[in-house]
Amino acid sequence: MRRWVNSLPPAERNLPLLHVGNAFYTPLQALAEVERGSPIGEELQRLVERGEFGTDLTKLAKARLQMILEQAKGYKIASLSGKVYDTAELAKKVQAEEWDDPTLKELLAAEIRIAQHDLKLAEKFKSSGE
Amino acid sequence: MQSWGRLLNEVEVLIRAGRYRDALNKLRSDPNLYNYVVASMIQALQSYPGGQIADLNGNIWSTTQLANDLRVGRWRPVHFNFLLAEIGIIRRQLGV
Repeated sequence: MRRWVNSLPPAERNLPLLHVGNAFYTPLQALAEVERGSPIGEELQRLVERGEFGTDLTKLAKARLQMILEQAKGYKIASLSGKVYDTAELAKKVQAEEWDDPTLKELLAAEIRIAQHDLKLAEKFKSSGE
Repeated sequence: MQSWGRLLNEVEVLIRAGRYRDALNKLRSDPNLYNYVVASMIQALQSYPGGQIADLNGNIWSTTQLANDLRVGRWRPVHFNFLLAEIGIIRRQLGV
């Protein structure tokens, strides 16, 4: 678990990736739970070993986008269409799940791809026994 | 008075069944155990990596805020994840 977390880019270690009960866990939070031997940690480890997120990909991507936008408060995001978004405006659209918005659709798809890639990296350590 | 081990088992079953209010009432039936668990949860929250936790409802909670909520007895659904974690740890500490 530690090797997998260390293999992730630093920014990815603090973004929601796994879901158990009522909360999303970042890879670092999952590692902390595994290392202190909590029941949640056992569930998180099982998810990683099975290559599962514990929720559907849209809900996961929504949580990731919300966290990113929360951390980028005050910044502006420019899109190729020429529209410049305020992060608060985007956060509202994410909360309202306006996935028809082309910019939001693109951001959602990107988060899903990144999350899948992050979790897939865990396979490498499982199969090599590291 | 029920043993802490048995009480913790019952609380865990209630949380896993989604009966949060009943789980909390059960835990509060032994004030010493309640205080022990809450102190343990606050400690875990204060050192939690990232300092923020997201839930399925689109909320992002600061772990400092969650610790402060616990101090005044304001429980939120996301607290029950921490409660579940602490139950396992306390059970192991007590060997029950």
